[in-house]
Amino acid sequence: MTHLESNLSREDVLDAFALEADHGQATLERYLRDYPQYSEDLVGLSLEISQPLDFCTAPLDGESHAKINAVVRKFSEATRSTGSNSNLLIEFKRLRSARGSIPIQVFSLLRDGQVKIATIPRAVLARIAELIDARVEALCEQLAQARTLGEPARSFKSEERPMSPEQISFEEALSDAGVSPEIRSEIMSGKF
Amino acid sequence: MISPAIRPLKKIGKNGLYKHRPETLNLLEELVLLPDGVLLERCNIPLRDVADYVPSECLVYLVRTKHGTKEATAEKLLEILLGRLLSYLPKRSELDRGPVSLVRSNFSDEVFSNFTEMILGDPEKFDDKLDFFEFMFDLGLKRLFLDAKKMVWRREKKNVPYLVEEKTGELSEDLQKKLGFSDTFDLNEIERAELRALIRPSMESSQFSELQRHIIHLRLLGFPISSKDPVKQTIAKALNKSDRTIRTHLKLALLSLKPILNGD
Repeated sequence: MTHLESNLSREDVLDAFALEADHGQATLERYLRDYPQYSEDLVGLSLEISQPLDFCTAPLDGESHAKINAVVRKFSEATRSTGSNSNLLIEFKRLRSARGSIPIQVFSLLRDGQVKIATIPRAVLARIAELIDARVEALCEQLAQARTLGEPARSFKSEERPMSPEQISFEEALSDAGVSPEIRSEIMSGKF
Repeated sequence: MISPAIRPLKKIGKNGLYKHRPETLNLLEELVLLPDGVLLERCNIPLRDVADYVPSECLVYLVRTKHGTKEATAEKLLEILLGRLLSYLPKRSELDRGPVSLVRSNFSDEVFSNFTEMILGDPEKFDDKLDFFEFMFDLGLKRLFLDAKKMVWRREKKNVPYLVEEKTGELSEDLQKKLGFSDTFDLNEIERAELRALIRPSMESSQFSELQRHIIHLRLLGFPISSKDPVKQTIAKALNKSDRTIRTHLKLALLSLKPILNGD
């Protein structure tokens, strides 16, 4: 292993492992020896690669269509570059590395204005503002604008029930995303 | 007719600059010349073994570059790509059975969100992680699966009953009795052919913790639990746990398979 290789990032090491022609014991052993700092991820990836990829041929259900439509709408908005909603998107993207215990779908709900701003504790707003290097007031303004820009899944046409456009509380968003009560209370007090 | 140049990949990895695989490049050169209607028809073919199927590597390229297509076509292509992604993920409706459903549907949400965040952010700031999907889509998915599972497990770890004392790697005596644990329990049982056949398909099921899945996987690959040779790679070393913890978790995992083995 060269000095350069020893400095490879987690992403580079995992990508390289994924692209190996053989994923048997010898290959994994070599990577575990060369990159012990990523051993847990290497074992996890090796396991993922050993599992078959199941492709479901059944038609997509209503919920899947609604999810896809919501993304396609944002995609066309992003490519037309529409103001503050896409700014928020970029800022939240920066949070990905620091988001820790907050699921990404909660950030998506925030960005789309589906969370009642009044239910977000001040400590949470302050922490997010700190992470994206903004003032709390500016963040609140952007979240409020997101409500008017982010109309959720209106284009969905089906006899099945579309995703609800109702706003929910911040804690409900965390709970719906499966965050455990213990971690939820940490997040609510701005610890993330 | 000469094909327009295919935008090369920019990602630099361990072995240098990524390049589209020749089969992807050849097909892309053909696809970018097709009228939008024909292109969509081809991309709509869902099954790999049908002639004219367009691999997802090409779909990712077409969505990212919108290569000469109309805006509406690019949106349709994204719809097809996301539909394929969802077809690889467990669905909420199939999983609403027992406490595991939440974990698995959260996993699906995490993968879907991570992928779409990349696609949505890409026009503003080129995301070279997506280059990997143009190179080998299936392996890109596996990478996403790994990150999503880690995230979901970390988030929900506190909900999982903690059965093993971390310091000693032992179960409480009470629990050992309940589970019918004994020192004579044969860890080599995992080598038995019928157990090997049974264990792989069960890996994604609820009965194993993340640690147990990792231990079983390494055992099936042929790694020893421990070794007197300090240079030898072992399961304990790879997972940074004591030998005893590894043995206890392997026993627990095997015990949870007993009812299936016994046909109960």
